[in-house]
Amino acid sequence: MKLNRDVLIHAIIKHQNVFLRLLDHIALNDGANEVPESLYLQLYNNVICKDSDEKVHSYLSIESLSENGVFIHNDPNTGQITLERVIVDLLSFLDVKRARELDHAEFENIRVAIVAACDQIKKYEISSIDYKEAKGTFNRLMSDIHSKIKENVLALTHQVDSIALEYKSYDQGDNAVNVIELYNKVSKLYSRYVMPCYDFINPSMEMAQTQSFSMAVDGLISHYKSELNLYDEATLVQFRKKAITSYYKDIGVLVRKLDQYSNHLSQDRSFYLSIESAFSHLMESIEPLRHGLKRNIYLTSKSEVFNNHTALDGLTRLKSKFKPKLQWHTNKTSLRFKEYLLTVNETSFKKTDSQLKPLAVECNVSDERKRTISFIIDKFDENKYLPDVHQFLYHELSKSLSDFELSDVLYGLEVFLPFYSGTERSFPVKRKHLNDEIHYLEYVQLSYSRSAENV
Amino acid sequence: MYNKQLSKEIFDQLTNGKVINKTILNNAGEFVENHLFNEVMGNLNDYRQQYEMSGCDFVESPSFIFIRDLASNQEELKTDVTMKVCVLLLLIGKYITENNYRITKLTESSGGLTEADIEAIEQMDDTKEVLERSAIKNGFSSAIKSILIDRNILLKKPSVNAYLLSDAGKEFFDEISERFQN
Repeated sequence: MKLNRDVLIHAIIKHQNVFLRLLDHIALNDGANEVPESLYLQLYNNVICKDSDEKVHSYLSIESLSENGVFIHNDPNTGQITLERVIVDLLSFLDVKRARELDHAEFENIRVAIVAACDQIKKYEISSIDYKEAKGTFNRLMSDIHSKIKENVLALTHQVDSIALEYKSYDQGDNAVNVIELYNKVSKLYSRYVMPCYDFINPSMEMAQTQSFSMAVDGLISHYKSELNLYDEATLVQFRKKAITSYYKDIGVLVRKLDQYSNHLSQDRSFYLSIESAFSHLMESIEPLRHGLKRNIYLTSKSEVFNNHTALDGLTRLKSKFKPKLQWHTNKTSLRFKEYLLTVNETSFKKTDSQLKPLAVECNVSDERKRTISFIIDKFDENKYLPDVHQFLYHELSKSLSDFELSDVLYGLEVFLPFYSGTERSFPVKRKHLNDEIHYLEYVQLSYSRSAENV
Repeated sequence: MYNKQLSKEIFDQLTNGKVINKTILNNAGEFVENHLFNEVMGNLNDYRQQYEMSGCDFVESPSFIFIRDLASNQEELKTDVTMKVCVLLLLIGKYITENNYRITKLTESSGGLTEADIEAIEQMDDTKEVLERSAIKNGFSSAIKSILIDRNILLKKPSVNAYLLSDAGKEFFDEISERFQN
């Protein structure tokens, strides 16, 4: 029985829950507008047949819907019914939750179509019929894009809101929400649906080798302005473009929101996976201990599994150990090295005598040097007591002569002894020793004090 | 100049195998700066020298300090206490992930591991075996008291029976996140 479409649409809207279930089935499966006949029959029997209005039973029977074009095909081989696209769109329009988001492939198709339409318009003479057809296609495409973008933004906003609710519950400690599932949901919505839409209407989007939606339409606008001087036409296209790209801001809000959730969730997800992995590692290390024997059944602090945890290594109660704390380990530690450095710094090293040469018996001292040495010794305060004459000469001469040598001491002694006869000899247990880092001189200590005969 | 009163308290805590954390919980259950940690950081050279002279390794992390015996290699640092700390914290971590909690349950002053959570950890499938294999006797509840709480790895929230991770405890989980990152 042929029916007016408004009658059918009324009946469908009356039982929209049944048809929305069909829409859910389509969304969960491959996206083709097909549902199993058995599913529809089940819903028809359980819901539609319970309607008190018997006319609705006949309007919404499979035969009636097939005859009137709501079901465009009923395949007896596959048992699938194909729904008219207009009805699917209408149902999506009725319930925004069921509105299907456009994915990357669909945006790409739209972009290719608009780029082609713009090129076509630019190609034809403005008075030609081809131009009019191309312009008509372009206008229809722009309206279609506007409508799709608007629906898409509504659908995405609804989905982001529903994710926001889940995220809020999760954030408040609701353990019914699983971090991994939520993260995957956010990531999928972000990368598969929101970003393609965002990129599609992004006015500054640039594409390699081809044109973005904005660039293609901008190209047409400048074609109208600069080549054809059709400013009204250019303004009209500009307004249409603006109406579409104005959703860029709305999508931008969704992008930022999802970005934020994604960042927070990725940290939690990473923590979740790390803990799961660390715990599995612990359980794996326990497994070999389940051998049923009585020995080697415990983990020990040296078990390999604990090598991954070093933050608190060495933590123990030190008071319980009554043993000397300073122990030199066989291996070299930084403390041991520090101690070595300390010892080295505190030790003064002397050249060993074996490296020094004995002073020659005969020393050649130049006349000029002899004079200089005599002058230095001449300044000696003779009232002074000298416990060690050699040491005194060594000290005085090395201080005054820049090129001091040990042989100078010997000549100094030659000068000193005749002048100052009050010298005495002492015999220490060891012979005294002098060196100038090249030669050494061993001597018997002489002391000097002013005697009566020197007065 | 170091504070003699505080240095005695610090000595007592460190030699008893406790960790001194950068932050502690105040009476309102909020994280505040730890005056003992600040004392050490203000006179770091003195404290370093004190424990070095006693033959200890003075371990300074940006958020906590403790002392340990000198060791020539990492293996010598693996003590029974560190093993038990690892096992108990891993069980707590497993409980958090298995029940879809966020780590903030253990780190934010609004959260905390409650007595009910501790009981639930004891009831987890693997807990009994893990404790047995690690020679931790007297059950999970008693072990966290002597191994984690007494050593300042878990901090008790005043007025409620709930526990939060100290800076040292957080460091343990940070290390896990770093090492086991996928």
